[in-house]
Amino acid sequence: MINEILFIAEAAALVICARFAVAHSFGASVAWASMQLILANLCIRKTIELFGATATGGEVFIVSSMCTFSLIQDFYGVAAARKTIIYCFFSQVLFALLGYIHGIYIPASGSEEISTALSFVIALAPRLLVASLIAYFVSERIHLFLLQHTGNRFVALFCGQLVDTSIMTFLGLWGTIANPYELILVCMAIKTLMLIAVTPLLVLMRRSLSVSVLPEEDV
Amino acid sequence: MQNELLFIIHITMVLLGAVVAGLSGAVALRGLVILYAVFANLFVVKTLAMGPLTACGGGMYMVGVGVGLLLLERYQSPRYATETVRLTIAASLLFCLITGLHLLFVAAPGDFSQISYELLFGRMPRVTIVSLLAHGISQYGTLITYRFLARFFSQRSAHNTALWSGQILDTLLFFTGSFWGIVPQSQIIEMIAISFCVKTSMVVISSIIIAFFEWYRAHRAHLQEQEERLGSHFAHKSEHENSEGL
Repeated sequence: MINEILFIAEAAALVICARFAVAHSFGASVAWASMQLILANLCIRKTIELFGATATGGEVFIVSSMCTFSLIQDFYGVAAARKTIIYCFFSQVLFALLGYIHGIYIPASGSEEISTALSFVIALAPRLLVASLIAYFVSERIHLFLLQHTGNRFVALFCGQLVDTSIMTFLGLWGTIANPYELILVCMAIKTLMLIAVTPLLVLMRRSLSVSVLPEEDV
Repeated sequence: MQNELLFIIHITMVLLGAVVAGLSGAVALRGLVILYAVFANLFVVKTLAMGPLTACGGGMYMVGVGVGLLLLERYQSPRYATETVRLTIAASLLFCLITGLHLLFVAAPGDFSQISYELLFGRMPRVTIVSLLAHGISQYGTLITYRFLARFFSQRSAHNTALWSGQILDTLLFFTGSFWGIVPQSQIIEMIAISFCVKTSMVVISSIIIAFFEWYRAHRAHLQEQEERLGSHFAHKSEHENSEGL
């Protein structure tokens, strides 16, 4: 039960932080969104039990980053949200490259254990980057295609997210987890449940943001 | 030799990142500065063999932060730079809290990653507190020194001296606080020495970056002026032709 409580508390705390970042400035929002995606990459190797099923430690950051993008879109507009995606992508590339370099440095004597741990944790970053890029492009196209042809927002979003999660699991995590099919199901359930749970908080955040003053910054 | 080569590539990438972000605008640069502060705390735990000496993996990011802040101070506004310092502190604290929370999650049966995360994130609170103290003191020191020196000396020399003195302060505070009792004292002295060398050479490189930005701004302003002149010339010409036609 401790994992579930921690998960919900962490998701709520991350969304509240996103609200403060968005209210502060566009630069702070970009940094916060990038940081969450980097944390998602960093924490993905740990598997935890959530609601009786196995999930990865990175799920919570995916949910909160979705909320951050939503807040950025509402507060700064669609163009700013698109810009944020580009900035986030480049920050992921930078993290993967820098992490890779840290992984291949020969450690000093006494630092071998830490070096092995660091290499283990960031080893997946380049692979996840490629996987997330492919997943994003494919899922966005499916999302838009379904939105145009069915006109149902929920179906389009759900199918887009399902494709995104499936590609990420198979391309990014294949071979590192015991049961990828279970992980896809759990991810989708968590995403849906958490988005439903976080939505009232998100509405509250939006309301509080609407009375804030937009800081001067080149968006 | 592998580590030395990698180190040079690494430093170049960090600085190149700051240049590209700076060219993209204040938003990108602010985001990158915050991320560099987080990376510094994350990667600092691994120490590297640098020939017969020992170096630390996080120092170059702090120079990246310093260069980024000075670019913001100079080309955006001093207030924007000061606010970015506050944001880097907030981001470092949040990163420490989040990683601490990640350790609290009970791992699933069969999970073998917990030991790695404990090794990596276990030192995070100490590193973060020490780095925040060192970073805060040194960055404010850099900005205050820069503002003070800029009144008496040229901007470039004020920038170099401010950055260098800030980094000396940061290095001394950070390495002593983070590694005292974990690695032998001789290794701490080696890390401080290497960090000084790296940071001094990076101050020189950063002054080249500032010079590049000066050139770039002057070049852009010149191009804009030319465009405006051409635009007004053609507007004037077409106006003249229209009036002739009438």
